[in-house]
Amino acid sequence: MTTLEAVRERDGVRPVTIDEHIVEIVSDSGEGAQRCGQAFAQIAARSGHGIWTVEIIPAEIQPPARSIEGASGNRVRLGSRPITNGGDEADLVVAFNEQVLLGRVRAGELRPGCTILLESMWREDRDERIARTYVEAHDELVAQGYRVVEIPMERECRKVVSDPRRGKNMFALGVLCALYSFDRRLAREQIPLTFGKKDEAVIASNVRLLEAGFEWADENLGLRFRIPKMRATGAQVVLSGNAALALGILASGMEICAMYPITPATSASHYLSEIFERVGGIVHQAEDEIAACAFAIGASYAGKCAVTITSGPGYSLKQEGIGLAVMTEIPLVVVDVQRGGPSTGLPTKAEQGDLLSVLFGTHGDAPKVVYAVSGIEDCFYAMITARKIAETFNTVVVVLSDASLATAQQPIPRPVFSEDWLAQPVDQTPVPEGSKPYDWDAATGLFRRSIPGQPGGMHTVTGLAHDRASHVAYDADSNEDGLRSRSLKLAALQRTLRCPAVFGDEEGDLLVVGWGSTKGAIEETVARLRSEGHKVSALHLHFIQPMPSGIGDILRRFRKVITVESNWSDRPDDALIDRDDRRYSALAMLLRSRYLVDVDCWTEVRGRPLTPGSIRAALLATLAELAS
Amino acid sequence: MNEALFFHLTGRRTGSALAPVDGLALRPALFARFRDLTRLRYDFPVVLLGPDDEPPLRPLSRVVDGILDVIGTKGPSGERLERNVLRLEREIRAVLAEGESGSLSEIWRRAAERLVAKGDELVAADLARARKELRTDGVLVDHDAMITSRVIGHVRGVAHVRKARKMRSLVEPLVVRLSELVRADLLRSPAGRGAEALRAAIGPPHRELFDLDAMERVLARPSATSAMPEARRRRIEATLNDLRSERLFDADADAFTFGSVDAALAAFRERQRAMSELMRAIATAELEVRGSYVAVRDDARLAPSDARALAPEDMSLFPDHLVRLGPSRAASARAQILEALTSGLPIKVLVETDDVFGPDAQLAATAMGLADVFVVQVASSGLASAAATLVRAFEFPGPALISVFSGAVRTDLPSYLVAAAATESRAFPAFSYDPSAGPDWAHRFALADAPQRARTWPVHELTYADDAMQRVRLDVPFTLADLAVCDPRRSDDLAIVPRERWDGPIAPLIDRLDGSGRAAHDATPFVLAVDADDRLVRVLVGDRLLDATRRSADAWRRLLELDDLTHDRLAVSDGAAPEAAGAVAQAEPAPAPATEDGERSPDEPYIETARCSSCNECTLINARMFTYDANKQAYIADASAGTYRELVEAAESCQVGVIHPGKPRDPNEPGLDELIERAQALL
Amino acid sequence: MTLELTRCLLASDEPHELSDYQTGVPRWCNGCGDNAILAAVQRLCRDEGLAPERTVFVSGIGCSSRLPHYMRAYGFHGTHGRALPIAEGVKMARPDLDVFVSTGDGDCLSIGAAHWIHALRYNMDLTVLLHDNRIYGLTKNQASPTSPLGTKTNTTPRGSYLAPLDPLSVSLGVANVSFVAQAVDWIPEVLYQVIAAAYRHKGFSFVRIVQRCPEFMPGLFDPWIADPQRTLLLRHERGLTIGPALANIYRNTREHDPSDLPAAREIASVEDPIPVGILYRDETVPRYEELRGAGSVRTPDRIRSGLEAELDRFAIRYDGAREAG
Repeated sequence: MTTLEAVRERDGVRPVTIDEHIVEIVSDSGEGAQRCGQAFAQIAARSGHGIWTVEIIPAEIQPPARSIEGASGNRVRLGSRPITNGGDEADLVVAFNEQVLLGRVRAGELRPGCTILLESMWREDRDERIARTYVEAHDELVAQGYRVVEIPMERECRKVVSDPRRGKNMFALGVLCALYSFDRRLAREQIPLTFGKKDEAVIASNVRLLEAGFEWADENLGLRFRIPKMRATGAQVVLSGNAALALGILASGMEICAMYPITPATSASHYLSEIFERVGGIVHQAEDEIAACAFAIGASYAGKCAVTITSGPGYSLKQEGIGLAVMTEIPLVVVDVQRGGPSTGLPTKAEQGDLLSVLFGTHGDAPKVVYAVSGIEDCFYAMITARKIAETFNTVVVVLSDASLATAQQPIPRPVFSEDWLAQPVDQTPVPEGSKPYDWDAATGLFRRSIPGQPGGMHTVTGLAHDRASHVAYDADSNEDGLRSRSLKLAALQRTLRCPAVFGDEEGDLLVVGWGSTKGAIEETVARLRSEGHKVSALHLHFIQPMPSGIGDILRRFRKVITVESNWSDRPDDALIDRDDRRYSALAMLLRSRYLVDVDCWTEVRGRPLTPGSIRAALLATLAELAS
Repeated sequence: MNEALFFHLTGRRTGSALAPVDGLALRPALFARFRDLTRLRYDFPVVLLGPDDEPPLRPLSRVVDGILDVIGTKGPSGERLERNVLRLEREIRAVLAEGESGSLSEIWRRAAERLVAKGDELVAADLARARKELRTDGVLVDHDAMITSRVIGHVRGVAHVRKARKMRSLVEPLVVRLSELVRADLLRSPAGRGAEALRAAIGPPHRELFDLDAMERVLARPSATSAMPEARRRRIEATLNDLRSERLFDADADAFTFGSVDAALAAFRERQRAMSELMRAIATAELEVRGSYVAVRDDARLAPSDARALAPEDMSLFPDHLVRLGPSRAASARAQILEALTSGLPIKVLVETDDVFGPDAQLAATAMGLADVFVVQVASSGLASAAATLVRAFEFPGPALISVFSGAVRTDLPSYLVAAAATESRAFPAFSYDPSAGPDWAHRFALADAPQRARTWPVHELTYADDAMQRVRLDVPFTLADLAVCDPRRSDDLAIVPRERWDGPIAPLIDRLDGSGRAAHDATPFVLAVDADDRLVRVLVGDRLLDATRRSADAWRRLLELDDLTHDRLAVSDGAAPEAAGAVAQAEPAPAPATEDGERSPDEPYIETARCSSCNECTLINARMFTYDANKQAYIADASAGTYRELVEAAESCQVGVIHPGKPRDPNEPGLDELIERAQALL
Repeated sequence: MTLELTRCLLASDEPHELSDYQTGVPRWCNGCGDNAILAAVQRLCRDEGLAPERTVFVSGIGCSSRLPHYMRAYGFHGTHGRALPIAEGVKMARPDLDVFVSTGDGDCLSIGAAHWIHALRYNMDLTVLLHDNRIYGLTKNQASPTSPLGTKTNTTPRGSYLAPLDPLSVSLGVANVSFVAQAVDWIPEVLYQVIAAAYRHKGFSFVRIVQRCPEFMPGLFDPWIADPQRTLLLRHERGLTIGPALANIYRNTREHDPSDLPAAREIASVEDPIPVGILYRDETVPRYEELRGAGSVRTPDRIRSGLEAELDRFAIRYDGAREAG
């Protein structure tokens, strides 16, 4: 690392070698802290570090400047090994004003005594009220033992550009890169990538800002970190969960995505809209969620399996359409990027509250496949798998993601495209004489759909009860025949699912069961507990309906089973709550009813990804109970 | 009898009074104005544009006007810019005149450099501004001996490229769809649902989620019905192969250009099998893709064969075969030309003539009689404005004749000028006949815009200075005879009258032609010409030439009538939309038995079938008595198939009251009186 | 495009008959206007020689929406109010198919109203038949959005409280509207012609069919059936062609140019006499499926290159060098 040598030469600062760090960049929204954070993450990844980013988003679109609740930015966790979650408290924070910083402090997101790089311009603000609040805040933080480094960002930027408010973020990026001993060339290369198609002038001035940041750090910061690199591996791509979903849809060969704008799902549709037409795909923004679902069903019915993307409130509206797809056995892929609920709930925040409505939603018995993604790479391949299952089993496949995966970024191995992933082409083969549209196989409930254009296959599908000829049929036998066959398809799929591997020993004191985006945090915690000698293992579920066989056996091999989820469960210590009448969390409830195992649960619904710290505390408490 | 008259009648010059015109380089008097063509703004040079431009060539002046329109020429600066840009246009002409050649942008650059060198920076600025708006580019060609072959060559080249694209846009989707059929069948097959295929269909990280052997067993359950029959698979694969190996358009247009009709016909026949095979493949593919290929029906008619005649629409997909016949060739090849034109094949014949008085000049008129031939007649000066028509001639799915007068009669006269003169003098009018344009002449025939078309001849003002240096102004018509002055081959019909004889018994040709009494009938007709030194001379016109001139006038009037006629007719006929006509056809209700005959006895029961709303009321009462016709509308099939009561009840229950029970047939039917009572309201 | 040769081959297919499009026994009440509509549609299919397997009938819920079950073609009997979005999905995925929609006054104008408005705006090439009998029939006699003011039904025993909405005027007020026509089930010839024109129109053709419900609205239209003067036939060379038989009965006609939107709106606003014919047609309105390039050829290579291009944007290597774009 010649450049690093050079740095050391000049200012003689010896970098502190660390295993990992959590860095936050926060500002008023519009000041570009988000962009700074993402660029920093990209450079970190390209420098050979594992990364995980978490967006810090204010609820409002344009909160008042310098407000505690207005913090907007990014958390970047970088380390010498693959990172799978946002971690606990931040080790270093860059703040463009003291108010947003306080917001983070109050939220308990900062490690006590951590380093804070703070824009110092406010000290000399003309409005002495501002100046005063700044000084007060600054002194308070220092008093609390935070290591506050004031940086005259504005002033420094002014030396390079006329309007420093836009560009401070790249100066800060420069400072950070210097701080973590990143290669300057890498950092410079990142600018054009970050600013995309913008013209040369923009890129040039931002490179100058970046350099200025480096320079300033070299001259003024007596502090350097160095995180060991990981072993060089093959090509990687850094993706957010929603970007991965969009690319997965593209790679699955699906042609039509019908959607209606809703947070946090929409960014997937945004990105898909940008890239889909180039491959002959269509993103249709429908007049409402119901129409989006119906539109997708129409396309699937016509022979091109389609996808509709939404979040909780939208999913509730789609239930009607999903019921129709189940009844008519038309393949359909539904993506639910969960957010806080019920009702409008927490639009921008993470929660796993939709599981039960997805499993059991819509009136009547509506068996459908439910798959929960557990990471960025999973988001990509889940779309290919979901489409394949939907078409092969003539079923609805719901893919559950959530707000934390939607915006989180992580490097994943670059997918190697295969034509075999693509949807099967529209089949126009004549249908043999006398074959029935719903020729349900007695054992599996499977049959061959015939689609418009296939001579001899003409029939009318209907949401009404129907017989094998797809004729409306209200008689008892036809009705049971249909219900049974539709349900059998899940059994058939279940027979093809492998039981997930246990993380840790096959048996022990405590088994932690999770699903979806919590995988990283849970396994990191369990690994740590195990290294501390606890007999803890973890089991993570992807297919939740049907559930692979063999899970019951695993549960029974542990003294205690607890699910860790981000949805509501009654707090055992609340006065009115007791074991029997407690409302358990979604997965716990499922496992209890399925396997008759006394599964406990620990859940948190604080609108943020579960952190290893809080999980650890909960598990230690549970282990303590076990011991006593 | 004076010499003039004698010459006029016999074409012989006696004595010394009349001088021959030979070698005097005479020009029609009206040509005097056109010394230096580069000073004029006219249709040439033209820019040869690409296949995406319509039409694929454009006069330089049009391009320049386009630029000026975009920029706008308002205000002093605008006017200055316009001036400069027009100067540039002239400069470009000058550059070409010096024998330079190249693309518009290239020549533009050189011309601009010259002007800028001469002018101030404002010029530079204006030209730069204009250059920004120059969006099209292509080779710039001026009017010379080669112009016809260059323009036609370009147009057909473009047509060739467009056809190649069309063919590709037709074949490529079919290839994709056919391959999809194959893939769909594979996925349906046991192999397609086997563990290996399933494994490949799932992303690597997701493979451990599944036991794919188990999935294979599960999916094997619904037996692999409706696998593609072997015969069909073979047919599709063969068709795919044929489509993929389509090579007809690999060769460029030149490979389809010939010096003789025979060569073209031979070449076409040679390719015919390949074409019909490709058509067969395309047809098979389209049927397969729509799933409507029926072996028993289609195997036979789509079997390989040389005999299959291609429909014209289909032939128009394939490259044109162009025959080019120069002046000398056409006359001898007349028979083959007609053979080509009547062949029905997409063979295009280009006949270039340099003699409006010769037989080739009549070819176009003759070809129009052949009905199914696309005909274009145009003098080389009109090629630019005829571009669109020429494109259509090549798109036309049948044979076409393109007859061009080059104007290359005398080296000392610009061929453009002579060609233009040939059009002006009505000797070689520009017209086209497009059989695909409509059902009748009205739609098919089009006479290109001609100067002063209403007149038999265009009349121009001629001013000159007489011996007394007095300015003389007179109106001079431009006729075939004037044109003859340019043509050495007509010298026998012309003779110069020495000035001292101008007061003799001679009269302007026009007076003789329109028979206005001013000139005595024995006065010998003359036309005005100028010699090399621009001195005005009177040229006597021989009787033969006078007749020819008369005939050309008649021919012109006929074309004119035809054209005016067509315009009136179109004005009328284009009103009614064809769709309305279609609707009429649809509207006629299918004849329903029994009810439609005009007078019927009031005793007979009947149904106003056309008004029946198919509501089943009557058919449910008695399906033998009341029956639906082909349109599911009711009529009385057999009045005796039921009782009068049923008739009355049906009539009463009819939602739209179109059933009329008539009188009872069986007088003994019980309760008749009451029924007849009720029926009163329904008769 | 189809080639002349193929055209001949396809043309040589044996002509269709009404029975080629019939299946099942309609379960509508005797005398129900739906029968007339079904007959007209089957007649159209026959006369246009539509291939049953390439024709799709989509419907929602209600008496009207049973129609697909009686057509020998592909059909989709969907959920209440959603026929239009389903049909849009079908058309977007398969522009090669002919897609018809049967919907009712409750289905289209009430529960599906949002979809109706936006379907007009999308202007996809669908033929939409609004079976408007001004009452809920299948659920047994409740007021619909087009029930005349004061209609006594099970939900409005003392008469309906609200003035009916007018499907024609609303449709004619929506951006991108490209075809609006009206027919009545008791004039089969006009019904047929209007549906035929709707089918031939390239775009969203909205046909309101005033329809009798003998069960719950008995005699509602008798005055109109009895008195031809209370039907206003719209004449135009680009509209209906009124044969002699028709002309004899229906003498109350009006010349109306379907391209005249203001006139169309004025006509739509009249309830009595009932205007029948083509109120509005504009072939130039762009179709959504064409704007979106539906049915374009998608080769695996096209998808591959699209994906690779995107992956390149996010590519990194742990040795720090950027992926080759």
